[in-house]
Amino acid sequence: MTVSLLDVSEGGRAIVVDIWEGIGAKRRLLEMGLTPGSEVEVVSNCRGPVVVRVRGVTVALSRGVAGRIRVKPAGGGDG
Amino acid sequence: MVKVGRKTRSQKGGEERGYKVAILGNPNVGKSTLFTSLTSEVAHIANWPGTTIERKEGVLRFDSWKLVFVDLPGVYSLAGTSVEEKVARDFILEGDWDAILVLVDSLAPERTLYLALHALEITGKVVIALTKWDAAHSSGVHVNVEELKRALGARVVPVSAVTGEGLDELTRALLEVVREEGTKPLTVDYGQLEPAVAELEHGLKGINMRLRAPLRWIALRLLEGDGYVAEVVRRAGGEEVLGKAGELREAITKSTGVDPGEVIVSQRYRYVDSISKRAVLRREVGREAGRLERFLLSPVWGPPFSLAILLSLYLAVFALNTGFPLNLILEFAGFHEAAEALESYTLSGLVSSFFGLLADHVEASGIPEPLASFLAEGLIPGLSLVVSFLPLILTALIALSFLEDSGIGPYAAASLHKFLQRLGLSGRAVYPVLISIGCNVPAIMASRTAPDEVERKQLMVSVPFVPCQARLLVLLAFASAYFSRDPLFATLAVALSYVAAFALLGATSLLARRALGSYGAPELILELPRPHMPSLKVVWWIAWDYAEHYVKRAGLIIFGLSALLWCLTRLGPGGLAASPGESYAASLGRCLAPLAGVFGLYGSRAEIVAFAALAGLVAKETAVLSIAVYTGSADPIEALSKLELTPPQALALMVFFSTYMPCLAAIATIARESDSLEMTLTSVIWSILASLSASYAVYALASMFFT
Ligand SMILES: Nc1nc2c(ncn2[C@@H]2O[C@H](COP(=O)(O)OP(=O)(O)OP(=O)(O)O)[C@@H](O)[C@H]2O)c(=O)[nH]1
Repeated sequence: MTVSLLDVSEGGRAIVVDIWEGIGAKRRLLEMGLTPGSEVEVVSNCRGPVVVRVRGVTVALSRGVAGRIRVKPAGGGDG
Repeated sequence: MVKVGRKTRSQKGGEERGYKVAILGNPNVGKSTLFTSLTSEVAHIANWPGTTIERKEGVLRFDSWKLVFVDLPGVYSLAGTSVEEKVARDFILEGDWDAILVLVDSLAPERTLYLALHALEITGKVVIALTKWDAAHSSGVHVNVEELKRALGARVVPVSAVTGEGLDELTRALLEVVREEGTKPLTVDYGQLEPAVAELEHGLKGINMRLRAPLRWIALRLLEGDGYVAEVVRRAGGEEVLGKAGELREAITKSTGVDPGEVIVSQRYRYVDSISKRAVLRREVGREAGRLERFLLSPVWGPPFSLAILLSLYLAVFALNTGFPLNLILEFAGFHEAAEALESYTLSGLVSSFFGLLADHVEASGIPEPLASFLAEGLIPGLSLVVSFLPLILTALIALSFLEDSGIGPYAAASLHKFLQRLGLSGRAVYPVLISIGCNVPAIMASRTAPDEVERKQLMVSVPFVPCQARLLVLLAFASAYFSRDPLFATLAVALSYVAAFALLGATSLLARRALGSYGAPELILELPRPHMPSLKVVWWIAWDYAEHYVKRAGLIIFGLSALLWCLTRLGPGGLAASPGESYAASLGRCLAPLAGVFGLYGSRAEIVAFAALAGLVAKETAVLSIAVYTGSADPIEALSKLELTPPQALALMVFFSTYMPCLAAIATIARESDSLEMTLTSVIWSILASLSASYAVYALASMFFT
């Protein structure tokens, strides 16, 4: 089951599955470490930008961007 | 083409061996800090061609050696998808470096090693510095340096710009690597792509592309579909390989369902992961977000809290420099003297009273006219203008670097993003926009924190519309001359000018965004450093760097232009003008006066307004004063009332004077920051046109309303 990053609630962990094309930012996201298979932890997700931790770095993503990141729940968190 | 050990002349005249080192690193990796602590004699060599990114070089002398460090913009990769990446890529591929110093953040090696791989795949002449080493242990990150050296086959030196640890060792490593023979780039295994890479690499043999990268790397870039590399290959006569690359890309996309570019990034990260697993141990110390972070990100409390932090910094900066807005509050409460006393003890007040004394001294010294006037009213005020901006820039930029360095700035940007999105700006624009309400000059400088080149340019052209403190004074003068009978209406009139100014800012920013080829609202992808107490040393370095820079570049322009303006307003066809009406500026005003016809102003009234607009270019508050001088009246407000404007005219002129053109200092700053005459002129001409249209619209609407 895959969902978008917007659907992961605060404190949840997820694995990146894919980033939808259509925003020029895809390459940037990949190079910032959001590659398929990498684990992200959602620090904050509530109306404002979605804040995630990935590869030891905290990144804020506006909702338009976060909505295009497909993820699947990782073990241990909710999803 | 690698020229190792260029001979350079040392200052003492003897020969010394010099090497050039390019510094490459992610944003926020600690690059500026390391650069500053490594180098002296920092030279700002204009901007990278065609960009608003400044090129900085600094020198390090070590024994009899000289290392010149070239500061490349902070980037995540060398793919060339942003202006910053293009600048870095072009220099790495074509520049005359002898070694590359790659910075890896010891707090986040799992991410920052990615860029190091890029560099290592291009050349073996790489030294890796693990930055912020002093903070690594307390953050629970342990890096096994020996293991990292082994895995990357490169020199790795842990350093701290704060404690100075490792800096000498880093220099030695650089001096070793530049002299080392037979270094080899790193080979990363790209798994299923390897056959395709090998095929392209073979096809590239014999083509001389003059790029400082191995064929394998070029083959990889072709497989990723890099347009720039493809163009270089085409020019070198490699049509055939390009065709092959296209076929291979298509085949790979079809068979794997993924674009080869994505496969390559993932594969490179897999390599980073495998190294990290061996060399990085992360103990989860305080990994959950701190209370401050949670608060800043809360949808309810975040925006007001962020705004409150920004506003208090803003108030501190301006209260210290100009007394604003305390002086106005006192003034309105009727404490005229208290307001004046306050102003005279602010930094700007002290600077201007010093130069005022100097000018008096010159005037009384018996130097013959017109030289005395030129000195006392042209040169000295020009100098005073330049100097009085200095404390303002310093404090505004100390506040900015405090925000950035503490990590609060990026959090505030994230929580305020949605509000600025409507203006076509990202949350990062909040500081420049806010600070511009006080003064446009530091605001234009602060646009450096913009996430990309497009937004930076948007800010540079749109921020000057924001009425600064000086323009507020003009607005208040108009309001008290024409609407003082009705305080509510006077307030509304001032508010209207602000609304018009912000509408122009929004429209300009959106238009510029389109013109620069970006569509849609900006999305935010922003790294948030963990909030921490900033290093005061670093904060000071950054602020001082700006201020010094301002004096050297913008200061000269301001000084020159204000001297020119003195000549215009004080000299006339008959030498020193006896009254302003006989000056060149008045003649120029007469030429421009017909423009005031759109507001129904003709004859001498139009000339006065045009003259005031010209005079207001030096500093906006002088616009009203010049009307007093021109009409020979002592009280500026009274002089304004003598223009006998109708309410629509007064409203239109308020909007006009608050937006018509950036002041000299702002123009000089735009010129300096953009390094582009074209952009500066565009900004000036656009602001005149936009302001005229907006104030005409106000005039037309108000005329309907008032009759
Ligand atoms: N503890 C510690 N912190 C450091 C060190 N060097 C830099 N920092 C911090 O790291 C952050 C980023 O430093 P900068 O030098 O501004 O980083 P940069 O790479 O130039 O970043 P950009 O200006 O965003 O490109 C700041 O908050 C610094 O205070 C260091 O040696 N030790």
